[in-house]
Amino acid sequence: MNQKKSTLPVTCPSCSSGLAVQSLICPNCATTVNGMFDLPELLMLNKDELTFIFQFVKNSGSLKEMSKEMGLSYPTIRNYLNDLIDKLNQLDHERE
Amino acid sequence: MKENRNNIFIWLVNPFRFWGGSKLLTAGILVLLLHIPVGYFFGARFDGAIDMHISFDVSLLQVTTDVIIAWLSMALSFFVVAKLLNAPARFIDVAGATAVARIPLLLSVFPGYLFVPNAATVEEILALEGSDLYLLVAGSVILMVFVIWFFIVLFNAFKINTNLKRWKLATGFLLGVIVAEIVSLLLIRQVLEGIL
Repeated sequence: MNQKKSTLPVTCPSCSSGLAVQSLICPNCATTVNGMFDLPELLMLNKDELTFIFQFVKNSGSLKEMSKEMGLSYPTIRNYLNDLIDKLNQLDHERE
Repeated sequence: MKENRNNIFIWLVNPFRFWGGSKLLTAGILVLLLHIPVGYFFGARFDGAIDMHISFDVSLLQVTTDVIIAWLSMALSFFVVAKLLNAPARFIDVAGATAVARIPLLLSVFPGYLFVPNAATVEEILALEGSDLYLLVAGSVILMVFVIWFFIVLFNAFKINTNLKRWKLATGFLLGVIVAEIVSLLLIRQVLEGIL
């Protein structure tokens, strides 16, 4: 049976607020660290947004190269980047 | 952000998701060039940024002037509005998109030509009855479909090239279209009066 790969939840399923990390575990020795840790802003992004950032870095920030690779027009890619910048600014603003 | 490039509906209403830059501009220039023979042979004039009229007696000079001014006024108007609203638009994309967006307007020549009423004046049109009236209604409905399609594509051209949202998008689009229409109507009249 194929096990589905789980993704890190970043928003509360009940009230939609951003989640924080309370517990971390070492997969090697099972040591657990408890506390209250904020999730890094990049981890607050969804899978598509993270994939976009990954492609952006891989293409040295060239939107033209990205548009070729992804089969989308330059304005589409640029809009996606601008929306992502807005979202990161908003997350940043919410943290302050 | 995977997009289905085989989705024909997206290609029909928003090809700008996949095409931009020089490729879109080349396609746009081809669309503009096609206006000239179609307009000439089917007697259609594009005497305004959002206009298409069947007038039968059309010269090559008229249809060429119409198309160049209609397209340029729309492209420049959209670009200026985008810059005024601080949108990150590139002229090459806006120029290509506004030219490609004219495809429905170009295609509307065919139903416009086929369903043209057998009447020259408003009184004659109001006096139409029987099959002539049905043809007029059918032609109007088909033309309306092309007009709606044209405005959807034009709106998407503006939207994708400006990335504006909400009231800025709606206001910018309306302003761009109105300015383009006024400028093109005035320019076409001035230029053709100057030449002819």
